[in-house]
Amino acid sequence: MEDLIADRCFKGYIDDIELDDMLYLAFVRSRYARARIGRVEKADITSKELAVFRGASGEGAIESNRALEPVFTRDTVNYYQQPIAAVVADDRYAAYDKARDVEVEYLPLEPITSIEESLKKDPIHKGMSSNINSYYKLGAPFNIDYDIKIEARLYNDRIVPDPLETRGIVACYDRDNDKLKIYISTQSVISIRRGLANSLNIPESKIEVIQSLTGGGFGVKGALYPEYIVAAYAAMKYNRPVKWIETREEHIAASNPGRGVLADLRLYAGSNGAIKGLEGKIYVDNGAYSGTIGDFAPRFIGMQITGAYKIDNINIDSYSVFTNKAPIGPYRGAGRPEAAFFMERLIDKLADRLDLDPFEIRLMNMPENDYRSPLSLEIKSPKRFFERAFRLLKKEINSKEAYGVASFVLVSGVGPGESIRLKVKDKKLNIYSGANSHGQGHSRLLKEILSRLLGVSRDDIVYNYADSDYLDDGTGSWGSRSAIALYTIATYAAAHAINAVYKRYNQYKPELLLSSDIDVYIYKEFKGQHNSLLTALVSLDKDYFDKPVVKKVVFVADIGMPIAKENVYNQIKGGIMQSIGQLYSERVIYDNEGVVLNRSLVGAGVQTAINTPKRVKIVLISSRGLGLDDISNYIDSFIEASKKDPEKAAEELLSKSKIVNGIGEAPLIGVVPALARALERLYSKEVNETPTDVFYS
Amino acid sequence: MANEENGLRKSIKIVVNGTRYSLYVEPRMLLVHLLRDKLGIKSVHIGCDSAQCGACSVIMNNKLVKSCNVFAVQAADSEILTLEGLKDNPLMRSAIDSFIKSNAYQCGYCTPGMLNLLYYIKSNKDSADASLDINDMLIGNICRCTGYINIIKAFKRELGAQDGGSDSR
Repeated sequence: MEDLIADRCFKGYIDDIELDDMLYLAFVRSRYARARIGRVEKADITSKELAVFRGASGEGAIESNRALEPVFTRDTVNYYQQPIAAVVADDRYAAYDKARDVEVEYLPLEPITSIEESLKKDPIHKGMSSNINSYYKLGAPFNIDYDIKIEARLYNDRIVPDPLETRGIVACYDRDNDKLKIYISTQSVISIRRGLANSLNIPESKIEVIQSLTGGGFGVKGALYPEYIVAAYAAMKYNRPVKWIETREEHIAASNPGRGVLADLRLYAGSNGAIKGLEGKIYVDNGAYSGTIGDFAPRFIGMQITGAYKIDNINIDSYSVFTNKAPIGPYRGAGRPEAAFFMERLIDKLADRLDLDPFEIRLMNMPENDYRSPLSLEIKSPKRFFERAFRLLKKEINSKEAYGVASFVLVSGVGPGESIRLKVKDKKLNIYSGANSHGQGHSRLLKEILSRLLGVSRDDIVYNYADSDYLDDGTGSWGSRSAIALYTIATYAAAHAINAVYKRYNQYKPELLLSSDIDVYIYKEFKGQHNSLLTALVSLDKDYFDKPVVKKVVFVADIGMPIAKENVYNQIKGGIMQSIGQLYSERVIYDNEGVVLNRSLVGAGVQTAINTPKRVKIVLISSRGLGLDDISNYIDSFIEASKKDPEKAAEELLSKSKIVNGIGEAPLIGVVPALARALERLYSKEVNETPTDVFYS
Repeated sequence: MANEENGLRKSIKIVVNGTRYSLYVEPRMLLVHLLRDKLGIKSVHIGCDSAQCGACSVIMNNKLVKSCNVFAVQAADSEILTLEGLKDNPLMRSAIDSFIKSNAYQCGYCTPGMLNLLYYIKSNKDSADASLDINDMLIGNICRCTGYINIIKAFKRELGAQDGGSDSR
């Protein structure tokens, strides 16, 4: 990580970009969560000239035309701080002055600020018969004998992803070539290119999206937002570079927060604790518009609800409902933590009812062999992993501390595919990929793989931030997919690079590769599920003021092959702190009028170092197959095979090596329910929602 | 718009990383914007706009300040040090090495503020409150990626074996 000083501290983030003659963009935002808009005066850009919609783009977004978000609303605003108009000026102070001077006429309307109200009240959107955005009937009604019924209402409040760098964009327009050049802090240059092309109705070939050094994402930087469309439009309108940097207040009030999911569930079991069925309802607080992850989220959460367990009877009605809030978006886990919180809370309640050991009840309900749930979640013979992991966890239990445990599944979102480009320039091997890093350390991971496969020194490998002009297609960095996708496509790309060198020089040597101008582009589709098994134990004690202290977190993961171990540890440690945040403090607070009240970083509940766990222990269990070091011994035959048939060579190596599992979102899935259980024990009060107030009351 | 001709701008002199500047600023301009937008000092990052996250921390007249919470006019006649000016200082060099060895950053956005804090504590070790543990020292700096665990490790490495950190692998 020698690039800390050279690359990260002094330049490269989006707000560091300065271009000649640049304009600064600022937004006029709604003061109400729901209001009719009258005249808008003294603004530079309004819906009168830019009457387009934000197209579906980014993680989990599916095509929808129910209620797409207008870039600028024409008649009605539907969430607090929704963009109404924009202004431009030569510097940021002047831009905010101008935004403040814009006059907007409002006729306030009564907003819908909760899932319950949404189900009862008249539709927010004209022409709709209800506030239901999407609905999925999951499973089928069942009639079974049972001894015990556990009923629970469980809730994860909305959370703002809050990367330390907010959203931002610099848009430039080259009038001579009619080309937009977009610099952006993003998890996906491909989504931004596609989304801008759709929204502004211009061909993708006329847009180049270049990723700036990105200061964290956690889901919020995957999508296209109205502000980006306005910046691109303004660059064309004024024929000058246009910069927009979001304030923290805008980020909390008007970017797309995650979670916001309510479940009313009933778990049926026999008197021995064997689960027989699960039924109930799940509601996603979708916010005001469709086109984000909210359309698909009810199905995605429902699909994972059985977790590591065998439950053959499922009957769930899963909805996302419109409210007068910012549209929902993905936050680290994006549906996975919700499903695990619901299931793990239910199974702990069942154990309490029967006075069963938490490990025992979990193992008892796991399938013996490979299992496909009624909603199509696939898990591979979980008992082998969990029996081993539980033995490790049990040794860590201290009888003086309250503990909670969770066993869970990480569904990695590898699809639909990913791209990589290897391009030799000035004797350096340059890498570009659609799965671009936003702080997780892809550079380290790719150097680790490619230096081994190609025999090139790490110093000769340059990881570039993504540039859409180098990539025909791709997806993005989210859904715990990067390591899986990058390992696969980098292996194919290496085989093709070797093949290209061989074709040209009749032999392969790393020096020949580096002195060439070889340029290899690979895109591979990923099909099927890529799920891994994990478990977490959290133990707690009280401090002098009766507040909880996380004494220890033990995290055991079937990681397959960890490519860059430090990256894996980093992801787990960071995720543990965000899990503590989700339980202790993180939420968006809306008042009865739908106004966001906690519009600062600490106000939104982001944790400081005070609540850092006293100890974290991480155990990585690897599956069978060649490990990274074994691969080094296999390189000669990989090179020989690549000379003849690169596709086959890559396939062969990938089938022999250990599988690579995802990790990024895992802590949020398992540490949250384990910590919830530990808090429940410590304070002898039920924990049914995040954040919880058990230690305040 | 305000300009020096109509008297709405104030003339200030300021030394940043050893270079003297004499310029006109609006009274409302924040030090962080003076440094970033006018002087091109890009290691000073804006994270929260509200003096919570510490990403904009700089050393002003030997005190650690959050530059989003200081007006440029308040910094008149002062000496400012940022990472650009400190990067070759032995204390800072060692802090940077510890950050790298401890994997104490991911996205890097909070890092300059964290490093300035560590440098400040190290250079004022004698007068520092010895009862503070590292978790307490870090309360004014927010990191969203690392969970602080490796940052605490880096601080420990630099400050000796004070308690309060996390022993992890």
